Amino acid sequence: MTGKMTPGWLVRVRLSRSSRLLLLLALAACAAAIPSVASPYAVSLTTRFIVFSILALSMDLLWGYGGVVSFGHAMFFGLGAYAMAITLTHAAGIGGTYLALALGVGVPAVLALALGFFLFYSAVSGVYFGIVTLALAVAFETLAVVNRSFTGGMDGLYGFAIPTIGLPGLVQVEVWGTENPYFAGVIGLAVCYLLARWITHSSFGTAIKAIRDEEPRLELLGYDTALIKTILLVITCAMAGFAGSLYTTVGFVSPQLLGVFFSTQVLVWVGIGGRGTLAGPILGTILVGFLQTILSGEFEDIWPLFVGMFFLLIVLFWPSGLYPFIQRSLNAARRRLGSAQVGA
Amino acid sequence: MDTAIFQILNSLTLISILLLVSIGLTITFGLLGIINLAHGEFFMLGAYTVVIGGEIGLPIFVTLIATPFVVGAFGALVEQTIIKRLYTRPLDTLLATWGLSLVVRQVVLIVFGARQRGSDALFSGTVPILGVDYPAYRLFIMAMAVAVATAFFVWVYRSDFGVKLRAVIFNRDMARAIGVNTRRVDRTTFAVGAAIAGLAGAVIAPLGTINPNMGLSWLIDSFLVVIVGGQAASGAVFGAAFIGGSESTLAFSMQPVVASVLVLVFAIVALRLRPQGLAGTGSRS
Amino acid sequence: MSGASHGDAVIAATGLTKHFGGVAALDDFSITVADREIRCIVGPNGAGKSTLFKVLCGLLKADAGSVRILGRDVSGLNARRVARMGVATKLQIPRVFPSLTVHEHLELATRVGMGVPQLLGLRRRRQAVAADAMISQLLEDLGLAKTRDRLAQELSHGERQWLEIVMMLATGPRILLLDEPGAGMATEEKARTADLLQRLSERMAVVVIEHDLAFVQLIAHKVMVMHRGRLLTQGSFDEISRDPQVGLVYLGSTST
Repeated sequence: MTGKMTPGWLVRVRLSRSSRLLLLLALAACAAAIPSVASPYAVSLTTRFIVFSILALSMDLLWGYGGVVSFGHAMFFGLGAYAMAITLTHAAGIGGTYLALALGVGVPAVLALALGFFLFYSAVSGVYFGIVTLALAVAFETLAVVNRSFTGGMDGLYGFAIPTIGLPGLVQVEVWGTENPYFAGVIGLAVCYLLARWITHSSFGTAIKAIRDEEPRLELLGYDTALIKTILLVITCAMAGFAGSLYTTVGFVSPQLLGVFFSTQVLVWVGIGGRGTLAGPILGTILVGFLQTILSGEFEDIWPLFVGMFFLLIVLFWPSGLYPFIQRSLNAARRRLGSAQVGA
Repeated sequence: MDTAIFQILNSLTLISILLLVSIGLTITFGLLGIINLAHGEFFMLGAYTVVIGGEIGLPIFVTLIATPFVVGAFGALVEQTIIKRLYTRPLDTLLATWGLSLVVRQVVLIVFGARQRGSDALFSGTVPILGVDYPAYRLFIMAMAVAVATAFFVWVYRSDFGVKLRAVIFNRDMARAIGVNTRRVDRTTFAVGAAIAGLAGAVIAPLGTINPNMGLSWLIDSFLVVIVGGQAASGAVFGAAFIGGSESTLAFSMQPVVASVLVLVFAIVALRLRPQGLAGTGSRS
Repeated sequence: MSGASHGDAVIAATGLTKHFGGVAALDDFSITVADREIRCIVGPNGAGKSTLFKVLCGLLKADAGSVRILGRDVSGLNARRVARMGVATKLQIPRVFPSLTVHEHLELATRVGMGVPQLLGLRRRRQAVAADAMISQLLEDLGLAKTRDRLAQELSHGERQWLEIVMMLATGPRILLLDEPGAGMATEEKARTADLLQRLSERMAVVVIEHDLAFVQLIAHKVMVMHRGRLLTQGSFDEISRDPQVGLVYLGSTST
């Protein structure tokens, strides 16, 4: 059959129930243990990767599952971060934090709604959607640099009120420092992952996969694919904005968060980790993040070159990414172990 | 009154450059459906070819003539190594050429540094036109754009190759069935589009600063030209007029980046109102 | 002579004209199809058959003429709206969703028209449960139960065509438009398809474009021969196969 009918990168591999449970317990144990065993610097670094993983997860939903290529997905992350930070500059305490969170999630969502309405409903091809997101990312990054009074320009935004959550009068938790942001990140990632799983396992998830495969066929069946894509865009951009809001507790809010290079990095994380797998992009983010931390000291100047080359090579020669490869190896190992026990 | 004429002439200059940058893309992407996000890099490489030419002491007009060949050859190489592999995966072509664009930009950055470069113009001085003294070089750019566009259209509509090209555009399978070498058509058209974009870069080099990232905004603009212009060979002219015209008019009275965003908004709205583009016919398939 | 054309016209298109460039793909073409009828459309390549389908199902807008489906004027509607009226269309190139399982195809088909909250499982779960029961029934009836969890990309060409038809049926259509349903199928698969279409014609109108004349002979109540966008002749299969014009048209264009 022609290449169109068989997206060769898609590998359907399943872990059994028991190994999945085991993996989950191991992860939870590691997650709980990290703050006690690692240095504050390492914990902050890990928190940053966890927040980036949420962004990667949202990109996987949009691109890996929905087939929508966006070259500016990070701008929703950046918008969330800026919305959160700017609101906290003018409003403090628990109320201020909830307002900031609402805007951090809401502003990207509204932009996504507008984009979807104008682009998906005019039946513009996927390429143009990519171009428009590219143009917007460039524009937003430039706007953030230029409008210093509002955004702090290249110096970034800092000195805003500490995000505080809880119930007024009863309990109050400052999401700042080393440990609290870490746990906030872990909980945020867990919630977003569960949300993503729910979406992908529902009929809505089936529909977005169908759109990725053959959108015209789904439309001919009677589905309003523009609506489905728009809703997907809103959900994933809101998730990206949520990640951006979390980021303000561990990172530096600067114009790069909105820009095109950061968006490209997200594509690389998802591409390397394994698109359309949910867990893969999380893996890819952490892996590439660690690689970058180790290598960037010596290779800071040519790191973007590596990113570009990686990306090119992955798209050309290894579209399925890391995660399916790991799954297959695990399955093969289990089968060999199983047959060894039976004595075959 | 003088300022207005100056503005109009500046608009025409911008439209001319946009036309040169986008004309190849109109055919390769607008009509043949070949996706290439590294198109802006052809433009950028054209400018840097002039820089190299200056550094090795070549006369400028020699460099100007050589640039399309150099960049065109690079374009053919790109088509042969990367794009050809991904014809069945259009969205992956989008990603792969984006990766390529990043690689090319970084290589240029490493080789030439981030420092802004400049170059000398082919000639200087002003010419009195419509009552103002306007830089002769910019008039040269406009003339060149008209000349190249005309030559291009003659090539597409009058040459033997043009017949094959139009056959492939109309129905690729049928063209292949009657013996057209579609691979060669794709590669040649792609290389010519790259060459013209490279020429645009070389021609604009004296006008402003040259840096590795200069291709990005032209990439965006040329895609907007193609989509607003519509799926016809003449789409480049309409699109360049629309995008170039609005951009230069707006940039006169506001921050350049705000002007860019507004142009983007105009393009999106125009597309919603007329999905087939300004020059397009029928409904967008 | 079963499925005779009593009953109102479910498709009534008149004066359809469609130009591409300078070529007229459809030239003042009219077609009326009754309920529970199997209409076959034949003709050499380039006769305009596929263009006709695209106009009927809403993918293309005719330059002139009108289309009424189930009594409603659909000239301005897009393909999605026409599909929601109960028109299920299979175009010339078979299309299924490679990364979805057979079951998921039917899942989608039975949920056409549900809102997004419903698709997410947030509201009216009972409808979804009922739909799933129907899926199991369909899988059994149409011999797909064994391949239920296989990805469409793992199926053979003929199996994919069958899947596409079953998926269309699961939407509960009133009209079936099938462009070359037998293409690339083995003889046995074609026989099964013919049998299915005959059973279906007891409940809905079926319009088929086909090149395999044996297949047409098996199922057609009425045959239309198209040539250069116009109707050459129509009648029963026996009538048109005896018509000398038809032979000329097929021999004249040396395709197939």
